[in-house]
Amino acid sequence: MKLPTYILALATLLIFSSCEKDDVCVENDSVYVNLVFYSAEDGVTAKSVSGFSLLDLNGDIFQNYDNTTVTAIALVLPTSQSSYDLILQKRTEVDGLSINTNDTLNFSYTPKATYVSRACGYIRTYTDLSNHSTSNWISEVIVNIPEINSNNDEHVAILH
Amino acid sequence: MWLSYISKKAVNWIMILASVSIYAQKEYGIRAGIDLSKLVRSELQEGYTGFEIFGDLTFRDKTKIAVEIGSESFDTKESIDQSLLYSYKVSGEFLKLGLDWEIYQRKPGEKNQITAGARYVVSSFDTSQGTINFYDTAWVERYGEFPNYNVQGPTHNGLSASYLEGVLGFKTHITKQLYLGGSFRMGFLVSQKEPENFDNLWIPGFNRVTDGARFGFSYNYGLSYYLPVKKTR
Repeated sequence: MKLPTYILALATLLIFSSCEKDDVCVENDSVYVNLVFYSAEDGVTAKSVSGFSLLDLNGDIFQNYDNTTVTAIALVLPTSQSSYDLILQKRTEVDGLSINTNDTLNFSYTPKATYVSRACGYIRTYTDLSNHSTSNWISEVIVNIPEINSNNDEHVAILH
Repeated sequence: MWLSYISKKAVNWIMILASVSIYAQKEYGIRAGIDLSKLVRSELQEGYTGFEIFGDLTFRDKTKIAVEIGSESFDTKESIDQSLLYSYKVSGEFLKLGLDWEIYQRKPGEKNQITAGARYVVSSFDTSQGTINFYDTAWVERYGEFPNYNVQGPTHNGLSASYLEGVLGFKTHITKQLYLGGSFRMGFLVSQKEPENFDNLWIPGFNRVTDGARFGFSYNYGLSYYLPVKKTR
């Protein structure tokens, strides 16, 4: 091969290599567990909640939705543990008195860090999600998708 | 160790080819050198340490058997803006063996040379992962940094890669038998043993590995000593 040809070939490849597709993460994102509220009557009709708060087991509110109506919540289950408890509190007004009704949800799961690519690194996913819950205002909690690896899915249905 | 095994193999090869080369040649000689660019880069670039020695053997007119043996370590990380995604450290060795051809017609008495060549390279290395944070765009918008997964990721031992390299080299005659010269190298990954739940993002001797591509680019620049062993005709 003649020298100019060789240099030209090398230069072309150097130019190509400068446009790297792995500079920006576009493939994926960490996953949140989607909890969607449905009517307990038929299990398929969406039914929102109002006067709704999320509490930890000590009874401290960590997310207060106030008077907005909530149709779905996205949860991060801590990846440092394999079990997580939270209280779903519903406030109802009866004769001018507000009454709080609590239900405790216990999630069991296996957290995972899934490698995606150079630009994205790792995303959070879960496997083997299961749930136990009390049933005061909630009638049933159904885990639809125990393998949590996409934000587009409705992983858990809460019937009330 | 692994490196001493392959360097012994390399020396054996050179010995065999040296004995072959005694027949039919105009000039043959042996070169040994040290890569200065890796020493300089070790001083200047944080997280990098590298060392390389190289040599070649002219066994036929303008054709050389070339070898490079080196060790490199690179401690680096991936971030988006100021938010760390993950960090890792790769360290290992490589052996490059192949041929160089002189492609520049020297003027009579001139000793400078330009060569084109090819190598087959084997690299053996370990990768230890440091902090791993989750890529979580909703989280980073809210808290300004990625959520942490762990502060000390796993270590992957016994990783390896093999690749082909195209080499464009030049050497300038300095004085007596001393030459200063370097090369640009384009590697093409042939095979690799990848870590579980991670990738080989950097390979000793190959440099950065691009996602979805097999090409890598590297260089060297060093001082060498050339000993012409015999001239006939």
